[in-house]
Amino acid sequence: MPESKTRVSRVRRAALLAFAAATMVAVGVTASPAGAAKKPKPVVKMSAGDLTVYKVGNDPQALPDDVRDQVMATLLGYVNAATVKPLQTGSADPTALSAALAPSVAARLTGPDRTVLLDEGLPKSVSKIVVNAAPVKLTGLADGDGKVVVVTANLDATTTTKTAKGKMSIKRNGELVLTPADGTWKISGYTLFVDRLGKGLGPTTTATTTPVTPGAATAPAATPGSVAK
Amino acid sequence: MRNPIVRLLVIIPLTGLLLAGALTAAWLALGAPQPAHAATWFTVHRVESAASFTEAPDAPFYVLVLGNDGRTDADPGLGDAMHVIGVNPATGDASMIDVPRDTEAPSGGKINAFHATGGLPATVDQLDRMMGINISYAITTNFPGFVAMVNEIGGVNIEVTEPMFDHDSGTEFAPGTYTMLGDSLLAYSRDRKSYPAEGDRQRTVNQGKAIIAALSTLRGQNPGAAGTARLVSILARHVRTDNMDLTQMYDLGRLALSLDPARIKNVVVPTGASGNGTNLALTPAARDLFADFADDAILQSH
Repeated sequence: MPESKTRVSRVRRAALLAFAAATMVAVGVTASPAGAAKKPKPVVKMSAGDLTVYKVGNDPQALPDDVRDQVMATLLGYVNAATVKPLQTGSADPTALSAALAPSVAARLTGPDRTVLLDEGLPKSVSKIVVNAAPVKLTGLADGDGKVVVVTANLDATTTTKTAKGKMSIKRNGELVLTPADGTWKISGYTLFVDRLGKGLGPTTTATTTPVTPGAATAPAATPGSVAK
Repeated sequence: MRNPIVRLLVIIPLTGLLLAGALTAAWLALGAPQPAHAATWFTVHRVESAASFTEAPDAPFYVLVLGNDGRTDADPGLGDAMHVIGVNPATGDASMIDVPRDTEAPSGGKINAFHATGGLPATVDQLDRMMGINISYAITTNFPGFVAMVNEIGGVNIEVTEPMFDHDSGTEFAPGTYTMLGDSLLAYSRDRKSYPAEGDRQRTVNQGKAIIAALSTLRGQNPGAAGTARLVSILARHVRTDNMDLTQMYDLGRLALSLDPARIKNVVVPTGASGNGTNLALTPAARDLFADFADDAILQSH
């Protein structure tokens, strides 16, 4: 009898192990592809706000719709390339950046302004990336023929997401100057302030720029440890 | 049509028709009516060979600001107030060298005479040779333009440090701080007789102070990139430009308004008697000043 009891318990144990193994395989098979497919899609909320046009002649009466739309498309492209993409992959999207930035600004990416213009080198996002921007105030300057030659945009955007270490937020605000080039509008100048807040960020997470040339800026030394947590 | 009423009934529509026809013909011949160009306040000349901002955004450059004594747009006037401003975009600094009007030009004669004969290009050429620099932009205004501009911005705050009472220029200022409108600021900028010892040199210093004070006022009134657009839209109605479009004017305006007036050095060219009439000769100290200025547009040791 003791011998047969032992046999029964061995059979039960083997059955339990087989069931557990089968369950784990089943769960693994179903969970793996679903997890990959559900990579959170970023959300960028950005729209045009107050529109103003200063003019040398009599026209236009308002900032033209096509100019507004093209400028907003450029701003959206910049935010996606400079913030969303780096948070997803660790680096900015150079193709999209070259579409959004005038050569004079793109040249600044090799200097200290890079940390102000782009959100690179931060911990990767593991959750949905949400960019919430206040309505973007656009101000145009039109020449004597009524053609808008410069548009300024007030940017005030907050990006939130989670990294492996916890919540992270990036607040970027300031003014961008856009000018037409090659049939589109590009960012040709900026005054930007960036605050990054979150666990695992380095000690230099705040930077500002001051425009000293149109389309160019110098970032002063970042404030060590000012907002890092 | 002997009846006068019948005659009027025919003539009035006929006249209207002719007028409409004439206006249509003028439209076709001349194009759509343009907004009336307002009075010219100043002229901006871009030296053709000067690099544009987009080509060299960090390169130091020089701007000549010249006040001429012309009473009308047709009169080029003498260049009686000459100030060369050096801007270093990489550092955001600027320096200004004030040139007394009687300074002897490299080609001989007083430097102020070159504006009357050759305009801004001739004056730029003389100053380039004198200082060993390449001026990129030159701006000039005459008496009416200066007065109108200052009135438009609502005046400029000036601190008068010594009594200024001169009938010829029209100054009547006890020491103190004033918000000067166009006529007062013009008088302040022209007065040399209130300074028996320094005369024209002190007047030149005062002109530099007026430029810096005007920049400070404009910065306060037109903050940021959008404020620059507002300012440029006003100024562009009153400007005559050579080799410059509105975008370049905006760029220049944005750069100017980004400079901190408190950090602009203002130095008068050291001069002495030349032995050639009333001309003022450059002293060795002037050569040092120009060398300091020419390397990066900023005065470090002056």
